Amino acid sequence: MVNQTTKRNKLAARSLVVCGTLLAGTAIWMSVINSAKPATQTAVPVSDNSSSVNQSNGVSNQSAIAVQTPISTTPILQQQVIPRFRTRGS
Amino acid sequence: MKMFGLVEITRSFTAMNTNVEAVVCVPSGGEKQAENALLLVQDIFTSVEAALSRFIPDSEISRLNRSAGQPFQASSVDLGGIAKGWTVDYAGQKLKDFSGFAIDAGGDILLGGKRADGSLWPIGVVDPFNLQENLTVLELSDCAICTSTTTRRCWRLDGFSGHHLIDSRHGKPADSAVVSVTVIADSAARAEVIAKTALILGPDEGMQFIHSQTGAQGIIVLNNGVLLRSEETREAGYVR
Repeated sequence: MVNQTTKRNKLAARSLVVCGTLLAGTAIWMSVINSAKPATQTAVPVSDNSSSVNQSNGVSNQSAIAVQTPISTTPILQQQVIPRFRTRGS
Repeated sequence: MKMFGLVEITRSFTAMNTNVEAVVCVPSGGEKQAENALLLVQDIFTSVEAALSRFIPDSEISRLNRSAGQPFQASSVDLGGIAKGWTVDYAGQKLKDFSGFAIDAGGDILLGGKRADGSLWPIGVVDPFNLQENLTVLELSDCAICTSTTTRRCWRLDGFSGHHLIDSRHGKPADSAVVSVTVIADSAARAEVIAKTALILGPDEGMQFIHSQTGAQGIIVLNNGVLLRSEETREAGYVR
């Protein structure tokens, strides 16, 4: 009787150790997976779609960026690199 | 910037009523050679302005214009539409031996080679409706890029708005639906002239004109916000 109780206790203890080890391993594995995910990139629009007033001629215009071009239906969304120079017209 | 043993040396100054910035890429230790070359660029701008500016009373062009009509019939001459681009090209000739260089004269830009880190030159095309923003950013090398727009150098008189881009067919500011034209070409003078011409011609004829010019590419912005661009400019941009 005593032997059977001791065996059950040992079995329960081993089960606890195995379960704890599995849980700890799972937690570590999840943390490794999460840390390996690439950082989420947020698209930053060049400009919002609000209308703007051209100060020079007083004409109210919708931003050109929001308008689809006749050549392609893809709008110009964002810039990924800071330009070294800017051509602004003369 | 310092990578791959190259450094970028920059010189900024004011000429032709605008800010000019010139950059050359040299190996470490070549800073003095770069500074001398950039000083030469500044001298070129100063001397050309002294000769061709109609805003300097004693310039050659001013003296020529004062003599209009005598002793021969002549109109006054204004080289404002090409002088800056031509000067950029002329100054660029002095920098062609560097592995990379750039000259930006108020948005008229000439680019040679690559940057010190080996990358192409990223050039922003300004949104004419929101000058703080770029329509796109283009990666460029060994070319020039210039923009003409009706939103700069403009005025209002007796209720009418005008700008500096004159249509020679009637002698008045161009009245096309185009707000700005950006052109990429092999020289700044060509890019500047093609851009102005396309703006005056209007959207359809203007884009046809750009594509009729060897090696030229363009971006046209209309006054209703529609944007027309050559396919090549799409390929040169970071974002499609």
